[in-house]
Amino acid sequence: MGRVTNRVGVETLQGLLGGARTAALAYVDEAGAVQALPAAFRWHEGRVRLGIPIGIARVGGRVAIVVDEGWFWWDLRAFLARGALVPSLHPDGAGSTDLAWFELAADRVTAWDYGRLHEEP
Amino acid sequence: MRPDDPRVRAILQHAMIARLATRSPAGGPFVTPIWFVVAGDRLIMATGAQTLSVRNLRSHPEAVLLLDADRHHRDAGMLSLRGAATVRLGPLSFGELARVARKYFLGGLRGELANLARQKLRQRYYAQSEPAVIEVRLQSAELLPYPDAESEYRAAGETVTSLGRFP
Repeated sequence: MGRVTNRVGVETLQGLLGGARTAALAYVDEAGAVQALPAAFRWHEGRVRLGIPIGIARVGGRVAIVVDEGWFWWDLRAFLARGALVPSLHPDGAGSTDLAWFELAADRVTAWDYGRLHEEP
Repeated sequence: MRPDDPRVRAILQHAMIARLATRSPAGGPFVTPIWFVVAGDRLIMATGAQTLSVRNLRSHPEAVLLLDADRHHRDAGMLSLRGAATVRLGPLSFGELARVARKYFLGGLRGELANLARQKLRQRYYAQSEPAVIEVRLQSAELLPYPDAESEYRAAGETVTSLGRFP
């Protein structure tokens, strides 16, 4: 028997990612403490843009994000990514005054969906 | 947890998913969604012993959890909870399991019934890894606004509001 997994390809979560406007974002501050806050999230053609309150994030800083949907066991699915922040323009054109926008240069991406629990061949 | 803080208690009562943020031994951040139940001043989460969250917390037992302030309206912001985590290997206690069953299995009964034929697959999924329980004793809470300026919540003038620190 193969391994049972909830891992899916990111492409299967396109609906979730295309509609999501918020991600949970984590980073480690200069004192070494883990911090977490909601960040504005935009997904466009496989790229992640994040709007973060000015003064919190710095260019090149490492962050982890998660976008999730669903409450119950067979419903919950999530997209997780970790990487560095690269400066970006506001994805919607007009700039907001209280958010700094970054693109996430992700080096680790995971997608899972309990509703698609399956056995790997 | 401060039982005299009704906003925190109300959110904890209704929130379904926590996003658990931890830091790795090398100092990198990680965040993942996780189911939880409340037991007094602690949040209890079942997971696997080899998950990244568990490995991180065993080296750096500081946890931050983000919960939707209103589970039906993400624009309502998030409750941030900070606490000290302990990890114990093994399954949930009977009392904890009963809380989980009531919240997630009875609450999600329609999904459970629709997936009856896949219960064995789920059992096999869990049997692949050693169980562990993360217990976070809450120390402080903050209500964080939705960050997007287009949000009605933000437009209404809400700002970060400290809900005080737990003793």
